[in-house]
Amino acid sequence: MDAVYRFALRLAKEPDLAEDLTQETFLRAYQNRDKYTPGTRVKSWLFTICRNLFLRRTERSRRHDEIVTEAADEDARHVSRENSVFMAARDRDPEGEFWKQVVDEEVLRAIDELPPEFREPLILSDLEDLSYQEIAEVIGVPIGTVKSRLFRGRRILQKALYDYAVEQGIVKDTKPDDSIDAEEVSE
Amino acid sequence: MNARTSDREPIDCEEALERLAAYLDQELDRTGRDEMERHLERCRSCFSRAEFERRLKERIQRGLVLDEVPREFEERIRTLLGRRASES
Repeated sequence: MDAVYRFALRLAKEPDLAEDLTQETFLRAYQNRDKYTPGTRVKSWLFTICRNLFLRRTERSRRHDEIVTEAADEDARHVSRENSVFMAARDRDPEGEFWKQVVDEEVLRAIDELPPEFREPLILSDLEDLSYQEIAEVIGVPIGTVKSRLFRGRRILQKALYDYAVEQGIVKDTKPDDSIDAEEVSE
Repeated sequence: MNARTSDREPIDCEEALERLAAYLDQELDRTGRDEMERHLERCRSCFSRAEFERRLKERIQRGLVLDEVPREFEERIRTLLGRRASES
């Protein structure tokens, strides 16, 4: 139940709505238990139900999803060789020790600020350890889309948390020429 | 650096960076994982990049795991499901 609630909470960002979604998810799953495919992970099935309920509640139409998808999905290979956050940090903290000093609340805030199409795969991958294939099935997109959304979501998160670390003095910023170009994540 | 021409040939930095996310997400098969690990053993630059990305992933996991189901709510769901089961 923890996993479904956590997923619902990060989707909805409101505890009351997350509880409603979790309750409805389990009730739906119970009602439709004969539709569960043996051999697949129950967790993935529950996430799928929960996500569909959330989308219905928030009236996110399929058309809207398609528009977002077109804007968000791009071949991660085009940008995977560059990482402006890493390049900015590599002289002072090349292995990213500073991540440990960023407070939990800031991490959650940065995750909550991610657009939903990036937030969903990130939660399912990094928290729930779903495979790319399982995430693709939950979200209903091709595996390539999962990869690119994960890639881009992590880049946005890296930049947000790095900026926070610089602001807090956890990491000293490098010279102005090395400042992070926000466009790098949306090239 | 040239791209690999056979499975036995070590991967180069370009290929290692392309595979990095899949490696950290445990999406590579045994051969792919071994190739990545051999590359990371001998390439300090890619090793640093991998560590940087790995620490972010760990940080995300640590932040997200804090969400806990309120116990009262959990009890309510269990009761509700138990009732449904006894009705059917």
